[in-house]
Amino acid sequence: MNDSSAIRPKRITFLIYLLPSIILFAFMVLVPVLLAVRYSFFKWSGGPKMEFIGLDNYKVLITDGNFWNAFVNNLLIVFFSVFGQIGIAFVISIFLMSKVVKWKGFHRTVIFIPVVLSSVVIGFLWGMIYNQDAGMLNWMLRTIGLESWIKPWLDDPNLVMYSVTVPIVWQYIGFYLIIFLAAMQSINSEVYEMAELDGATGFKKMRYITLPLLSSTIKIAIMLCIAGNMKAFDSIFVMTGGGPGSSSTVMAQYAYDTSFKSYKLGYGSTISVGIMVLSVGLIIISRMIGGRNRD
Amino acid sequence: MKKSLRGLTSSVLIASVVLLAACGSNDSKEGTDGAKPKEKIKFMHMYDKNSSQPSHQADLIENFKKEHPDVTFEEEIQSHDNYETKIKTLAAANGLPDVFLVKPSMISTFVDNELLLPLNDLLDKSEDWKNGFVEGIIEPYTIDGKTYGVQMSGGPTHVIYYNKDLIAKAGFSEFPKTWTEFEALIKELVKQKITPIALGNKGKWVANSSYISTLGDRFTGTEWFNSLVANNGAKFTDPEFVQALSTLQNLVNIGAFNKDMNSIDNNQQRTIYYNGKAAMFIEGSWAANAVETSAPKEIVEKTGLAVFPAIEGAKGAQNSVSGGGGWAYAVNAKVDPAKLDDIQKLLKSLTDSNAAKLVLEYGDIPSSKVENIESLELTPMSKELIKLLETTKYSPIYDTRLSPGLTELMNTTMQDLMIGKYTPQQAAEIMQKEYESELK
Repeated sequence: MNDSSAIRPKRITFLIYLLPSIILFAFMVLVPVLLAVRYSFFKWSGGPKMEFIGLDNYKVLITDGNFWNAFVNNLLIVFFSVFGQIGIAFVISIFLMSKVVKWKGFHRTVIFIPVVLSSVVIGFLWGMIYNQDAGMLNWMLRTIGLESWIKPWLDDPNLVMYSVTVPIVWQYIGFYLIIFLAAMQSINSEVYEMAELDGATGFKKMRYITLPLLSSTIKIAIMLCIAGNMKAFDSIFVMTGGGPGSSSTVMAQYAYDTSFKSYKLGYGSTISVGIMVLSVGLIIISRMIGGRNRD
Repeated sequence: MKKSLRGLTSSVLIASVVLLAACGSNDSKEGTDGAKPKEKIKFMHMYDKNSSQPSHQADLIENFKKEHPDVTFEEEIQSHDNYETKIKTLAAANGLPDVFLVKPSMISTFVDNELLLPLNDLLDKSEDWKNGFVEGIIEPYTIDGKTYGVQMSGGPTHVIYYNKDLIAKAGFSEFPKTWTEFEALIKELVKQKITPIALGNKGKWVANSSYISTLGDRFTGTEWFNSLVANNGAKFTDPEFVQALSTLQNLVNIGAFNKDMNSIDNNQQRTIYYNGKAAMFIEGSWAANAVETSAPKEIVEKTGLAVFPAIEGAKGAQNSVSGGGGWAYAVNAKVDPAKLDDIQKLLKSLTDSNAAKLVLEYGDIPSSKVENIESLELTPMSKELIKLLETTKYSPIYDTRLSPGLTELMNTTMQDLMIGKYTPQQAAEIMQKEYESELK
């Protein structure tokens, strides 16, 4: 390795080039996180008056039914996203890699479009689709004669979480599709050719070659999926505002409402710290289930 | 390695010094009063003179600028929803502008944090300004005899806008006078497959501001609410308030509202009414202007105004309507005293009885008294609203007087109540629990 140092820049040069991003990262991520941790020990309604209350906020958080209810909602979204987004993206990418499918570029673009749209736009869009009188979903059901299936999709507390999860799943399929396509394209085609010579068919190729070689990509995708959905907020906020009642409130919205609607900025920070701890915990658990042996 | 580390440390230090210096440079101008040109008044509000919905305040601000070219502003204009978030964030960061708008619910928190300047001195400078306000209008902004906000308009938050034709078709030649009749009307409309009341409660405040504030007062009387705010023994679990909650829940049960009431907002509730699919909608006086400018002509002509009818056997005043509070101008506690004279002139010209005339002409209900209303050119709906208000009296708006935390909880709990997740008793207990925990 040492002889490559002639063309390798010095360590200090590296650091200097990294510095702007490190400073930005520190000010936009690290400092706010540290501040949130600090605020979480205070009773604070905004403004100069802050009262130190130690761990009281955390005691409240542990028994706060609304917070755990929101956490369950997040888990539901994570669950459906892991299977929905990653599963569907995987299946589609296999189809796109095979020789049967035509117009690959077109399919890829169409599936990727929702990723570049803002979640707020997605929220409005699906809000319109779900609309009771003018919405496309009910219109379709009516057209095909399934009038009895028509429901207030965003107003039924038992249904609302599923209704708001669909757009989230839909939105990010394209994102994982691109990741999987890239990973699949990097698999050496000789491996497939050899397998074909040995008589492996489509499904077997997928099961014994593609899947194992993609396992680390899938693990990263699952991690991204968990991290992304633990902070789900915008599209749900636009569609239901967390309602009816608190049926579709997710943790990020609970933190937002507590901080900026109820003015409990200290407790809001505590909730944020809670979100962080739970997210990291979930990711660690998913890594453990994913198996350490291959790393 | 050591060397590079030192290099890194020093670069980080330099960078942070530069950043800090950039942040701090705003405050360095203090102490330059005297003959120097007057400092600009930092003024944050939400009245954009170029917006599609014109507002009296934007006009008044423009007029003031024309009349007082010597007073200079540094204006920041936000949209309504952004404004609320931004002002709260600025308050938390202790960086409020000199003059800004507040809601009554913000007052107590802001005063607790010593962010607001008492305006009594400013008001005392002009007797006719101070005495020109409608009675009770300044109360929501007053704590311990000190007034922290002056408002320009403050109509009722509860007005029933109803379609005379649809009501007549249901067999009512005029709006019901009693609650029993009101429920009968709703049942009749349900039978005719017309949505009785269009409700868009996605924002969660509509049910609280426009419904329960008035309904609750009918049952409990204003005394109860005052006692609640002053912590003198009233409870959310008192039978009268629980009765009000169950009356509201009963409206849902008899089918008074559209099924998607929790996923559409208050603008969409008006749309249902404009389309003639709903017989009524309930919102504050602010919606009168919207109806006149956006509804189809035949709907505007058919629209009548009313308030909740009297409830048999309830103990409050049966003609009360929640109202009186709204956005008000407030002044930063740390304002440069040299600016106060100009600020006084500004606030007066935005809220006194001259301003009130313009407020009326815009179809809003002003906070100051206006003489010779007949001589003003008003829209028919404004006239009807003023006529309606002559027969009613203001009662407190819950969500502007209770703490933000309690209001937020009430909003959510009422949505839960209206989808049948809680019984009225349970909902009242949840509110009471939060109320007690805030007193601690």
